[in-house]
Amino acid sequence: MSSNYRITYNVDMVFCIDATGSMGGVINMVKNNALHFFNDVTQAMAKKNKTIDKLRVRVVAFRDYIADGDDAMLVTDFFSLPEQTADFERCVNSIEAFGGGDDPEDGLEALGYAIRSNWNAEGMKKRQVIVVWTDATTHELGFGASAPNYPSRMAKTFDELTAWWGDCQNPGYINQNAKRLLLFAPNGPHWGLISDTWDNVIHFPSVAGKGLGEYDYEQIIDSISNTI
Amino acid sequence: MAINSKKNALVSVVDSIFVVGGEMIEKNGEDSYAYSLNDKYGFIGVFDGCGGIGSRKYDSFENKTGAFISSHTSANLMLEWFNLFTKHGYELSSDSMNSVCSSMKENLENELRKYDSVAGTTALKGSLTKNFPTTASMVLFSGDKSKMQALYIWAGDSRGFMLTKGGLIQITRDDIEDDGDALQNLSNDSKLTNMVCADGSFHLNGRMVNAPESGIMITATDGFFGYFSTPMEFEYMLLDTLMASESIAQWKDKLNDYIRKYTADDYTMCVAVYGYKSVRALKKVYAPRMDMLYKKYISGLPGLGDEARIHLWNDYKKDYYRGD
Repeated sequence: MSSNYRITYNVDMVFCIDATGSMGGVINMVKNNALHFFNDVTQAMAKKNKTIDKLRVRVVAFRDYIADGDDAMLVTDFFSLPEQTADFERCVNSIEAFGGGDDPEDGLEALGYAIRSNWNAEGMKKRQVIVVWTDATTHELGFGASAPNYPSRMAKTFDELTAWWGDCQNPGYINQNAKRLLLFAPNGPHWGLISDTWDNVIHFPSVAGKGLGEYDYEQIIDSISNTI
Repeated sequence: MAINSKKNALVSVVDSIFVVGGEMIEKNGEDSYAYSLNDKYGFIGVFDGCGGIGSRKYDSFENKTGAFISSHTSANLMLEWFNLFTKHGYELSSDSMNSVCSSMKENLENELRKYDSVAGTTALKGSLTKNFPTTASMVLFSGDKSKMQALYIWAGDSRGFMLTKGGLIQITRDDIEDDGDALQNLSNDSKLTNMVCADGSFHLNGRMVNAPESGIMITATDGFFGYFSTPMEFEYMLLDTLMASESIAQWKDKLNDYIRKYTADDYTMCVAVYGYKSVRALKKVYAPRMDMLYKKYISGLPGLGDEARIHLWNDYKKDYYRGD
């Protein structure tokens, strides 16, 4: 008996990065983590003989619709890696920490953009990963709706955003088996609620991942690369 | 091939019990196993530590992951449980199935809670973390030359099979979110809904089988059966390697050689062969099945589109799920 059959994985990642002024002290750490994260996941999968067929990464840099106007949300298409690695790196490195207005930010809108990404539906096995780095809690959805550039098709409430994420009874806009959400965010509203109630979430309560230990990081990477 | 025998005792009926296993990362394999046999009862079991949600490493346990600790602890504990079960002379029957499952569960829960109590806290939160999770797939069996009863017990997506001259039967049902069949589950990567873990929020499923006078009982982790394009290739691999072997030791080596080339996970399979007396007799019984399997399901697979593959599977699965 012989076989050339190999299970391959299509991996999509969306990096949501808080780019407001309060992130100034940690933005370089976050950018560095974002640039290395996809590589750490692919290496962990390779170690277990899991072959990645297609790898794509997308960036959502978010601030505050009321305070920051046109700079409130930077959303890219997916970069195919390794072909577009230089473009991806240029994009991440161009993010600067400024603005933000009050303490909470529009992180839920960033998450909304991420969930409704144009995920790769092809391939045998998939991972669809969203990573959020922020030092702030979030506004309620629609807090910035009076801003002219506020997206008209955004989820109106937290419950609607929860439905976008989906669960085993009612799948959302992201593949139920492939999805993973990783939060490097404080434990306040709404991040704490998400980690308590949404499925397939891992949350390191902190200022944008500051203080993350080696073992915790390995655990996060393994929880994303392995079946659950 | 033969295990030393006493007339009419289980040991005179069981030809061989063996395990085939391997790990992706040396000395950190998250699969484990246990097996034992005495005059009256036999036991085989595999355990697959859940490396996704159980990937936390514990300082207090030599930096091993919760998945590693759980699978190995569970295997050792179930062996101890089996020895006590045997010592007390309990009966294996449909009536005792629930109490057997409850007793096993209680033992697993109590032991893993002990680990949990000294494990300390972690900064990480969320549903992607669980303390000391592992799957379990076990068979507790008893019989003689005229009959064999087998209780399949499981939690999670490690599986229990019965291989007879009529083909491979999957006895267990995966505890997963999707209700897809074994072909769909090869690509769905569905989430486990039930597994052995320290918080006790699990159950052990049980299914009693009146097994034929001769057969092969199998428990396996998904590293063994989950990397084929169709479930029928798993059966074919079992038979093809058997037919190319002159002894059980050779069969074991060939199984290992084959699976390690294609899997992307730790892999473990525990096998109990009974009622054949010799490898020659065993091969003779399974040769017609292998020929039929090859002609009907395997030879045409290369180059088949998804639809045709599903069509073949739909025909094959009538026997694969027989007894449901």
